[in-house]
Amino acid sequence: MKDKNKILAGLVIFIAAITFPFWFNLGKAAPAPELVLTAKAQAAKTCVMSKEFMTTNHMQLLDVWRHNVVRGSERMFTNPDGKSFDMSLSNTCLDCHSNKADFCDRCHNYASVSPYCWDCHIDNPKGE
Amino acid sequence: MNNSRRRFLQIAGVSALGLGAKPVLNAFASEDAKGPGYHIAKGEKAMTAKQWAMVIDTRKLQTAEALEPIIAACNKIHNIPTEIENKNHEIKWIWEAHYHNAFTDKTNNFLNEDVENRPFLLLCNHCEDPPCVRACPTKATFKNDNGIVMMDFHRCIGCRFCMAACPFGARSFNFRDPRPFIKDNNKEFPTRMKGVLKNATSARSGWPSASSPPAWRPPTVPSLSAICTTSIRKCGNC
Repeated sequence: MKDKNKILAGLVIFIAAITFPFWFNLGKAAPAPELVLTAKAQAAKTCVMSKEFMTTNHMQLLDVWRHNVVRGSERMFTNPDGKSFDMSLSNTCLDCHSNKADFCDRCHNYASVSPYCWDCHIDNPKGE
Repeated sequence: MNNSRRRFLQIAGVSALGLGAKPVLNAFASEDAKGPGYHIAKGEKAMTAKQWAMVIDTRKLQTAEALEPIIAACNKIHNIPTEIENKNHEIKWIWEAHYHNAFTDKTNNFLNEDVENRPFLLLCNHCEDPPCVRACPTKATFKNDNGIVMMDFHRCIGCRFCMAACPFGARSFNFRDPRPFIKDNNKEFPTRMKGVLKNATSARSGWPSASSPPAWRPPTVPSLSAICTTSIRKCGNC
């Protein structure tokens, strides 16, 4: 064990290097993004489901929608309040949420997810 | 093990107890399985059919000029990239063909010249037993309840087996991102992405879909028929 010091020094440098991102960003947590609702979305007050459900489950719900529409030709969604909606991302969701940059992208960028919805769906059907 | 009457009765008793416990377990299990409480169904105005079909009255389309507005309208509604110059990358949705190419098994030497030289509109036939559906390894292409050959772009892996299988050339591959080649977007209809296949018509709007949504699509009249001012096209259930 003649090289004990060298090994220890190397270990310290290695650990310092590998943990660099953690202590460099310490205390600089990016603030959670704030969503901007369009006037139409604010006027509607509730989405197709409750706000809490949409926040946590919108991706699962969209997946259910897409499966039922494409595979089962089922297009009518009735929420627990008994209100019906046409199951369409382009024409129902984006009708109110026509501000993709301020509504969708903010959270998706923050969470570092890049859903491929927009490869096919045109993001602003109203052209606002 | 020694089989005795006593042993048999013991096993039978335990089994009966187990069977009796099943409804109790079910009751416990269902307590949490309430679900989000929504309901999904076909629309009230949904139209169903065993097999939708579309008939084109070719007598009313004598010249290539007569086909142009129909092709243009269909391409516009479905966001078809029409500006791709490379023929190998072309997306065929609805196109014009010569009699010999349209009716390969119905040619003879003494055809009516008028018919022979007339341009014909071709598009996906929505076959009764579609070869593309059989060829698709991921079931991305499938025949829906109404007989429409549909495309599930989310499942398509871009293998182009359907292109090879289709005897009518009604399948195209998006070799390029189609969006820059679409002149005038219909924002209510999706485009496609690079690397997926498509067939020549879609149940989404060219045909009366299983359930026409209320606002943005006429509930009974398919979009093409709505645009054609003359009654060149008719849709119906076979």
